[in-house]
Amino acid sequence: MHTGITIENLSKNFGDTAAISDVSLVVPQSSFTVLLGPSGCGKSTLLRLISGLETPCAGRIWIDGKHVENLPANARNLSMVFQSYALFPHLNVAENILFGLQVRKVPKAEQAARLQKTAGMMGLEKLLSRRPSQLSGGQQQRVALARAVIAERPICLMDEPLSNLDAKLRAEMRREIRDLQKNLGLTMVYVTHDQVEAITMADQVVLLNNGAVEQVATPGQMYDQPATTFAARFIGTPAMNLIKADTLNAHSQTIWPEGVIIGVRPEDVSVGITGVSARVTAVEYLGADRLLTCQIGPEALIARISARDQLPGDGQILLKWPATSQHLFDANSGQRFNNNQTN
Amino acid sequence: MKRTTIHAWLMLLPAMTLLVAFTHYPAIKTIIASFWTTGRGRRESQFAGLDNYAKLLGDDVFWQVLGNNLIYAAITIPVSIALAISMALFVNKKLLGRSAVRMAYFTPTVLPLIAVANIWLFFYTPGFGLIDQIRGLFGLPEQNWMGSPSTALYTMMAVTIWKEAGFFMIFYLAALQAISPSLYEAAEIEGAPRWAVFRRITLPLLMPTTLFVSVNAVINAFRMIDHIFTMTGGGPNNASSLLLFYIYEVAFRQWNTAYAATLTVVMLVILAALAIGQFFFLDRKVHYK
Ligand SMILES: Nc1ncnc2c1ncn2[C@@H]1O[C@H](COP(=O)(O)OP(=O)(O)O)[C@@H](O)[C@H]1O
Ligand SMILES: [Mg+2]
Repeated sequence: MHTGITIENLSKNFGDTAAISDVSLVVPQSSFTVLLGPSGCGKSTLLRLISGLETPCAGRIWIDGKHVENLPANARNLSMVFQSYALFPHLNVAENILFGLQVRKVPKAEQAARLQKTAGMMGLEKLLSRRPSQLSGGQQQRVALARAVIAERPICLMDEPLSNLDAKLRAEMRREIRDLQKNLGLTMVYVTHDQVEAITMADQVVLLNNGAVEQVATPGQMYDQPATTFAARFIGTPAMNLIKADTLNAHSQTIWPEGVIIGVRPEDVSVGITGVSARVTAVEYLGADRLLTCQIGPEALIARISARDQLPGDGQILLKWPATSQHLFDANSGQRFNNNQTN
Repeated sequence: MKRTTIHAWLMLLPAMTLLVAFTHYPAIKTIIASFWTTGRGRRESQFAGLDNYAKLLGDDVFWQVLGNNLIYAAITIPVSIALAISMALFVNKKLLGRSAVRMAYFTPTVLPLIAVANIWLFFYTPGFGLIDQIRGLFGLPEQNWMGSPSTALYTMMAVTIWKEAGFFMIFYLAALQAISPSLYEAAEIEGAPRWAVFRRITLPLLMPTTLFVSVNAVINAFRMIDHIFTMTGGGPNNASSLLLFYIYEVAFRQWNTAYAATLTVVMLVILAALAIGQFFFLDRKVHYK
């Protein structure tokens, strides 16, 4: 019944601070699940609860149908890649990769065979006798991955593994980790604060905010139907515009219902001959597109329009967007209105 | 170019003067003195060649104190290092009143060795001492620990270990705290047993500290003799005498300064050889980041 990882009503407090509160979640087998959220929202804590490095205050965790809250980390059949890589500085690359097999007393011949296979897969054959301090950041990252892969455990946990790499290497490693997960059929739980990383890699994104789950969805769903204003602002660059109905009502003919927040993505906004009147305060040229920062009464809105569109000289424009691409949220709770009652 | 060279020498001059006057000159003078006889009264000091060194080879007391010193070093150094590591591991844990325990372990280091010696005199004194009082509770007879040749040296070792272990612990504690906790977590995920974690991770990462501590310990084993003055005076029958204490006796009780200089040169050669040996031997096992 429970395959993969199932979490029910999990809570963890550190003294007075609730790092994780009442989180329930299913991580399907062989899926790539990303825990996403701003810094300090409890992503690492949730990952460490799954790994067994922390013990929960309340709630249950199943791994492959087995209760694991009381099992030590090494009995949970998972491997982990740390943000700082946690390579042993006094051991060379081969010894680092083999550490787990050695302490578990795997036969020497099998160790050698698995090392050769893993090192080949990660492109580390030539570096096996180097110390971690003699490796570049990207190479250290590969050693950390190799150490997780060689364990041949079905679940792999990663805590912001790419945050110490430069942008180019990061894009490369994203693809590599994703391929690795697919080829080996790993159940991956991957922590990041970078929404681009989450959207490009994940089968399933778990958005956390203040220790609670904000939304669980595929990247596409999360982008198209954010469940809350927090999710709406967190996914996408530039972020979705969120504007109070009152403000729009004061600046256009259309009437939006009271107590509603209207969300619209910058790329869905266009300049029209009817619509909401706004004043352009800044223009950012991006090549194919332009980003307009507009003022609607007291609120700001960002529109991404084609660089070819002409703008009036006085900066007074009318903005419109298709009714189908607008999102309505409850102004009090921040929750999405599900049946998008548009006008 | 020329001007900067002169400047450099001028800058060096004050420190150089002090070093030469108080370190280099006496050292060289000592080496020279070891090749001369001791001048007494009207008899002038004369060049003696290797006579002093020949005498040293035939001096039973020299061989005895050298032997004592080697046993003393061979026991006190490993024991205080092992104790220091154990104590550091213990107080590095999350335990109640951790800083109080750390302070307690460190206290012997703050005390002057003379004060430490007095505390241990109270332990050792036959009849009244703490040890004999406890033995008395079990009906065991009085024992003169410092007075008997078979145990005198060991009583001195206990004092040294007591004083040094807490000092070394501070270095090990600092080294332990510099080890990233994620290394232990990585080992935990791999299911490494405690002993394997200690042997494969903690101990190797403490090696630079061990090198530093052991070089210091070797030097101290030959240098710190205050407790011998206060407690046994090297006796009975030189059983607890160490090399430096013997040098003191030769120089300032017997006033045989030439022979004392010879002993000093030999001691320096031994110390230098030990320190260099340690660096070469341990350096291969030490990991520097
Ligand atoms: N060991 C700890 N002791 C006390 N507070 C902690 C500990 N670990 C995490 N926290 C707190 O729990 C919250 C979540 O932390 P964390 O899971 O590390 O966030 P994230 O990984 O999302 O940045 C933070 O407020 C943090 O200060
Ligand atoms: Mg974190």
